[in-house]
Formats: sequence, structure tokens, C-alpha cells
Amino acid sequence: MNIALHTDHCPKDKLDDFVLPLLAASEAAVKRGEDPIFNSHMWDGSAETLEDNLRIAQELLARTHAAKMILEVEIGTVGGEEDGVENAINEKLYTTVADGMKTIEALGAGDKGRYLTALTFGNVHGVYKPGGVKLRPEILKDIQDAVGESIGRERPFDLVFHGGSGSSAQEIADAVSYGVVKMNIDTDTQYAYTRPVVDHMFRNYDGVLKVDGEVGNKKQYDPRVWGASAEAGMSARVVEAAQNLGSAGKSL
Amino acid sequence: MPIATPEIYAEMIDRAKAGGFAYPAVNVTSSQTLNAALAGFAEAGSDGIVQVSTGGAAYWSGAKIKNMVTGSSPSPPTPARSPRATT
Repeated sequence: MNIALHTDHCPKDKLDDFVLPLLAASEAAVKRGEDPIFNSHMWDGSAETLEDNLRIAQELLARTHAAKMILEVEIGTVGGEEDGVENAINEKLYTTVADGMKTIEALGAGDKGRYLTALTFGNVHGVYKPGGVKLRPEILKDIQDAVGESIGRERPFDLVFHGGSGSSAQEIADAVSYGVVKMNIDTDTQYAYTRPVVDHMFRNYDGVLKVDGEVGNKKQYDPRVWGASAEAGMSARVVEAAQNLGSAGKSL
Repeated sequence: MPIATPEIYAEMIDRAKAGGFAYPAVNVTSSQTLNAALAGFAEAGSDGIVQVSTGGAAYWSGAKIKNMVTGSSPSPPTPARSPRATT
């Protein structure tokens, strides 16, 4: 299986301590005749004005292109909370056609370097009760059609689906049909990793704890034992994602 | 299980776009979650993406260290080298 390495949301105030040093390290590697260290980096300018978002994206795109890497950008906003950044659930979660047009004007259609685009269609980080998140994948189709028509290309954007956890198979299939090539999953895999650990601890509470002067049971508190079930739980969730997204069985 | 070269990554994305499918991009924060993600991709016969967030990288660098650059370094830097060897 081929595995690509990527860095996730990097807002403006974290560029100096995260993406920029990593990008510089990859540039140095490429200069030495090696491949870059990461395959792609995400620049999350969604908290900036669209103008600033795209201006910084242009600068970064020039550098990633030269270093044989891909840039991921976010146009629109992802709601919910992830890594201390929280966004309200409101109309900003739905990218407009106009924003799509500005993006293709600023970043090109591959000629200035390859980039992935997170156009938002109601995406939210985290998992909510039914009705809490209103995904409208058809927004992706509208933007792809309108922008594509204006430049004479079908589905010009390579799209990223943020906040994939908790989405239905139908929502996922719809989004993929409109040009999504990458879907981020975190919340569901966090849960899948921890869930078997909970089972282990509750079922074996007197083995993992030293209760009433007892000494517990090393076979039960050895981290590898509950760790293996955690990993198996998470792996199964990744398999499910690959099946929902259609990448299962299609390794290059 | 090789790390994708730039050429392979481009091919992965092209094939997905043309073939109407997409890759899971799984956040990882430790050698365990990384191994779990890789095992999942292997079991599914799927290529894939593993990713590190700012919080994940800070965590991975060590609880008292919180350095996002070194915390991204456990990810193997050399293409075609097995990720399991780095931790």
C-alpha cells in the first residue's frame, strides 16, 4: 500500500512553528536530490479574509510546487472544535461559487502547482446527534460546474472533505461523485481506538487495578494487551472508511 | 508499505479523481495510532494518507516538549522505508 504523509490544519499563527520549518526542511531535501519529507501540507486560511487566505496560499503554492509537494487550502469554514480552534455552526460553513471563482483565479488550475481544495458544505469537526450537522454536498457540484464552465475544465478542483466522522455512506458517496479525493477522519478513529480499551478496563477492573490489597494482573495491565485491542478497533474503522470511500482494493 | 513518492502521490490522486473514489486521511498522534492506520490500509488493500495536526504533533513530541516540528519527525523521512522501523 502506498501511504502519503500530510500535515493538517495550520492557521496563520502556527505557520512559523509548524508548516514553514517543515517546508524548509523539504526544500533542503529536494535541493540535495532527495524527495520531500512530507507529500503535502495544509494551509488553513479560513479565519483570514479570502483575499489574505489566497495571497498566502499563492506564496505557499509556489514553494510546494518547487519542492514537489501539494498544498491543501480551505475555502469556507469548517465548524465545530478541533485542536483548540472552534467555529460556530452558521452560513460560513457553506462555500459560495464566487469564492470558488476567486480561488481558481488566484491559484490556477494546476499550472501554478497542484493543490487540493477543502470547499466546505456544512462540514463540522466532531460527531453530533442526528440533525446537528446539515451537509449539502450538492454545493460542491454547483461550484465545480460553474468554475469548470468558466475555464473549460470538468470538475477543476481536487476536493477534500473535512469532518468526515459521523457522515452517512450516502453523503460520502455524493461528495466523492463531485470530486472529493481525500476525506479527513479523526473523531471516529479516536473513538474506535478508545472503545475497546474501555471494554478491557471495565471487564478486567480487578486485574488492571490493585483492589483491596491485591496486586492486579500483569497480563491485563500490560499496555500491549489493551493497546492491541485499541489498534484493532481503529484499524477496523479505517477499513470501513476505505470501503465507504471506494479506495478499498484499489491500491496502485 | 512504502511512503508515496511525489510521482506516486500525484498518480494516487489522478486515479481517485478519474475512478470516482477517495482516500481516507487519518489523523495519527502516536506510534500506536500510526500503526493502527497503516494496518487498516493494508487490510483494506487501500492506499491512503496519514496526517498530523498541530495538536497531534505537539503531543507526539512529548508532553513537556510540545514542539510541532520534532513531533512531526517520527513520520519516516525517507521514501520506501517501512514506517514501523522509525519508532
